[in-house]
Amino acid sequence: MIIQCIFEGIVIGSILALISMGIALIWGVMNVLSFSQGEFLMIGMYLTFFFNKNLGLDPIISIPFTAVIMFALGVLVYKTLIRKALKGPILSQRLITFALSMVLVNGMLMLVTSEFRTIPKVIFTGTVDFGFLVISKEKLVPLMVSVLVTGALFLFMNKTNIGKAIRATSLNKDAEELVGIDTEFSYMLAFGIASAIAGTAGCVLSYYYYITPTVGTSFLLFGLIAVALGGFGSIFGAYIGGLLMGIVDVFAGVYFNTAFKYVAVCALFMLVVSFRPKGLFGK
Amino acid sequence: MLTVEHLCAGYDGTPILHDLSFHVEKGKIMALLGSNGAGKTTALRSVVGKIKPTSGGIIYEGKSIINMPTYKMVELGIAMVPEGRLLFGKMTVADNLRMGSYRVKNKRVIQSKLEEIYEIFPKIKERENQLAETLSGGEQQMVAIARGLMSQPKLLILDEPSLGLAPKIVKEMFDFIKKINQTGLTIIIVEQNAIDTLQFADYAYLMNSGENVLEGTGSELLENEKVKEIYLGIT
Ligand SMILES: Nc1ncnc2c1ncn2[C@@H]1O[C@H](COP(=O)(O)OP(=O)(O)O)[C@@H](O)[C@H]1O
Ligand SMILES: [Mg+2]
Repeated sequence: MIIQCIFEGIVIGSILALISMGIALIWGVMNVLSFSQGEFLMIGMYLTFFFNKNLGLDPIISIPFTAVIMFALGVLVYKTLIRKALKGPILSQRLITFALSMVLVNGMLMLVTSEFRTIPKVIFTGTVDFGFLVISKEKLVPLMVSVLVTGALFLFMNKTNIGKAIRATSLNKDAEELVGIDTEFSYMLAFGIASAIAGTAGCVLSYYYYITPTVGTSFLLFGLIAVALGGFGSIFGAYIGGLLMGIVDVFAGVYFNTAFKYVAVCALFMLVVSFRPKGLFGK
Repeated sequence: MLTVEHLCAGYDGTPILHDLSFHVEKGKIMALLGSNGAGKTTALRSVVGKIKPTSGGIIYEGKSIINMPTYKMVELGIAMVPEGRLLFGKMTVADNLRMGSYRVKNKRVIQSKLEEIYEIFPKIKERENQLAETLSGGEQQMVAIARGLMSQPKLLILDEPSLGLAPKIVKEMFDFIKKINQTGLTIIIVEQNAIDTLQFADYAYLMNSGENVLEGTGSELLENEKVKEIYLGIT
């Protein structure tokens, strides 16, 4: 049972990690809190649903399409909203993504109603039974994709020139312009990438999860706390924080009840803040 | 190569520079001297487009660069090594150097530049896989200069390269600056360390409260009564 819970926790945690890494990336690079990350996941889910219903694409197959569309959407949001807000007072910078998230959730409620939808048929189904652990393939897919996406993000950020430039932007804005990096370009890429990752999370989440306009809200809350646990600056910390959140989430839900999840997750956050104000991995 | 004329600039409406003019010729070392707070850094930040001047002109190789964004400077051949080094602390030394040639697209050129730099600074090569923040002050300054050189500049701007370095290292640094100048690189150096700098500068300006008050060749200024008074305490 405990092993089963850990597995389920890691599955949900790996999705949370995709959200929290996006939040950490955007925060690290441009000091913007992306409250709309959960809604990008939600839109990714609806795109997946749309591709499945109209073109018969399996969520896995639709990942590249969804990711590209979400990247473009992220770039558009950056260009039309974030870039402008960054020229304004700090409170606007904090509120703008919150406002966007409200518009997206409620806009979608108007557009598609709150009806729960699911993807009726996926390629990978069935279970693998180890006795002590039963793995459903519908959950294995999100886990594997999350691991791959995370690996790809790390390679991109650490090995490619553009990825290093984005890191350089987050490390030192003064020096970064002097070596010829366009800060706004880094911002735009970071926002686009975070949005594409959230969209991809939406794709694979729809493998076994219901789809509804408010689905992103709890993912955002947990994702934000995951970032705070990890110490805000680091993408790696956010990833670990996400996994941890997932495990706490599942344990609290199984051994107590669903309402207790929020208590557990937020209490954990408060504990970490009082004992390690800079987060688990913050220095 | 670079001419700054009647420059006025400041921060958020606080004027710092009033009518600053200076000029540097191709292949020369020009020094901008002045006490702490005179506006030297502000002048350099204006040149590289970090600050938008309120009036005046900045002409580089015959063209005005006054409204050019900072990130385009390296493409023009202008590299600045900022005050306080501003390395990417959480990146390796090698990555810091590679970021210096971010705008150089030819991989082979980058590699040969990197090897050239390792040859000049063998110490840096030893540390290439270390995080930049773990280096000593002198080593960090070397990496900062090396990072500037990685963009293959024609004009290298150094803001207080001797800041916080031990006297022996400072001397090494100045020797090194002379050496890279001899390869044809034009250099603007800002220093508080005026007497040492005047020994090797071809031309120098003395700044005070946002304007230049004195100018001349290195040896002229060394002989100047006012400079002696300020920097050597001789009256
Ligand atoms: N970012 C800033 N905002 C406001 N004032 C500044 C800023 N940087 C420097 N100053 C002011 O501008 C003046 C000149 O500073 P600076 O150019 O750094 O001098 P220097 O490099 O010659 O020591 C100082 O009075 C300093 O307080
Ligand atoms: Mg200064």
